[in-house]
Amino acid sequence: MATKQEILSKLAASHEQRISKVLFDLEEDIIAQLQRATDGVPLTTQLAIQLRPNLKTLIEQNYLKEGTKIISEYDEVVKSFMDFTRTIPDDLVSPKFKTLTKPDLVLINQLKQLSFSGFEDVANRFLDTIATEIYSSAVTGKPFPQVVENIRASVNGVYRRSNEAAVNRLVAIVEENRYSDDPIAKKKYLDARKILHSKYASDIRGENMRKYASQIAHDSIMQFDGQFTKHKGQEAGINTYKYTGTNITTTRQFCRGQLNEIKSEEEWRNVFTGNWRGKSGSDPFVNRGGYRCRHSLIPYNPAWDTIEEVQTKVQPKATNIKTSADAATNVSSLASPIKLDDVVPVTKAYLVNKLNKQFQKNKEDYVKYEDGRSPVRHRGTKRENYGNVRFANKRSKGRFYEWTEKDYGIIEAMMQELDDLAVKYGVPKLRSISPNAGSAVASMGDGKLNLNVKYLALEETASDLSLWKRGDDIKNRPFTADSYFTNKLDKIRSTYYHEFAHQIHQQKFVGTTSQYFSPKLEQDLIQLGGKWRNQGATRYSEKNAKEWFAENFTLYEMGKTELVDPNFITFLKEKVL
Amino acid sequence: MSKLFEEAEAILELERTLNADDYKRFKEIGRQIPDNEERDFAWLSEGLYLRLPEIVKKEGNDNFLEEEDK
Repeated sequence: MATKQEILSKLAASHEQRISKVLFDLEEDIIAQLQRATDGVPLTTQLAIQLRPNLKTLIEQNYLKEGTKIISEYDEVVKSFMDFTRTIPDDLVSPKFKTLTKPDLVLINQLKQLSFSGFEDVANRFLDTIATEIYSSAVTGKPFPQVVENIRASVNGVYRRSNEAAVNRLVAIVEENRYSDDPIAKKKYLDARKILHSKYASDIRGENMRKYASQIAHDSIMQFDGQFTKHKGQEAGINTYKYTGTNITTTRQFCRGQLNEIKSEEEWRNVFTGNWRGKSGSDPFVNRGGYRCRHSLIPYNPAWDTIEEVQTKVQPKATNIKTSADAATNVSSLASPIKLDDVVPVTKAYLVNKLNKQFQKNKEDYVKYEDGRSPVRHRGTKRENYGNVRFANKRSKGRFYEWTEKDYGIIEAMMQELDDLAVKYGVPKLRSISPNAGSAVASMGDGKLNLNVKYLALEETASDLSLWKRGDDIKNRPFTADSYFTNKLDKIRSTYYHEFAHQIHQQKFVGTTSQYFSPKLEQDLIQLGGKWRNQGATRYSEKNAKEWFAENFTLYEMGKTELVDPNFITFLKEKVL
Repeated sequence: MSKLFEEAEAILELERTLNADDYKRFKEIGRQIPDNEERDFAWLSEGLYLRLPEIVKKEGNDNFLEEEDK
């Protein structure tokens, strides 16, 4: 049976992911509501005011409904804690510790209510932001596509790391000037705040709606666990806490140092006044080693050290975690994409082993002939390689190009983000990685991602940056979407997202082998009849409808919505989602 | 952009079904492309990869394909 820490980690990750999905649904519902309300009539301030209750209902039906379900699952945390307490012999602990008392149940309900109020705060913030956006759009007579774009940014936010530099600059201006009486400083503060609000759907701390929602989903369960277990300890007169969990390759230095340490609450609070890499917050019971930390403090008596049954509940074997299909050294998701500095090198063997297991499962999600064989559409694909992972270094023009362990760490993270995209867009997850990209940067066909080390290794990533914006001369557009990102990981990420866009048009709505060779979405792209020409933000998007789709998809999913062709948004909404 | 690069771009932009001659010309350009355009050309190659099934279908075989595309 899983330990409390394992259950906690699994729930926290699942909650974040579910909230992320709900926000995408919410975005679509709000836009649909707005379109219905303004069908044939202009957006007026009166209409904007009338829409507010409808928006509230949508937020309640989507976000708060999921929040309620999520909070109901906190009972699993309680259950796993009680499983642990039952392993302690009766003579070594107060009976209160081993049973759920009436005060416990009261506290559990109170903590759940507290958690729900956190979700409600975010919901109210959503409502205010979106309602204000609609109202101000009505006042200024903003064109409808712009209103839609701004609402999308408000809900799912321009939250990507690519914008972090700009957001951080603005946040620094806010911090520098917000308390000044100097009129110039005050104006700087107000201007920066306005841009943070309007352009980045962000507040003056540089946060945004989506980030808040994901953070609240994660922190909420951690807070619940921390407060409940601490209460149980106090109730039973236990005033020492053990830092529990396991060491894996990515364990923070802080956690390695504190693992299995037993200290009083006061001592732990003193430890948490220090600083370490990856620290977030200062409450040892809630924040632990930092974001996504798998360790936790539990009420603990050193006398329990010799009881084997207790130890199996406190200290899972490290190998269980390392080989688990859903455990990742480099954790990343669409909602919280990993940062380059946080990518931990992993070995090729680790990554190949992990992805092989996942791909063996994933390959079952694709259509097959009646005889059980899988169709093959693209060149270089062999059906016997479905489910397999291969990486290769290469020599080209006298130079040797090599994947490093840092690159493998990046690929591990990217594959999780692509899995999120697969879930979001309802297509099968990838089933193979191959080095057979030929002369191409990368390519995608049959659920197989072909990667070229010559262009995708971190060391080989280009460093150009384009400041082109819609309305500028299209002759000055960069060649590909990666030029809009400054960070090397974002440049690499943009290629992975571009390739995944091809997976979407190749696999979406494919239910039969004949559809496999002529997917509906590719027919829909042809039907656009060149509507996409001269509309994309990159030269490569001009090459054909599939590349237009992939380039716009990349910018859309990486938060560069201001660069996305509005025709793409329409296509996405009408034909894909 | 060099004339060669523009020619490769034009091949990829063709709305008609590509054929073996288009493919061969594209690959030949790839061998001559200057180093400073190599990365962008690698993107064009990405686009060509998606069009290989249509060329093979039109030609009825894949004998014309270079080894790296088979």
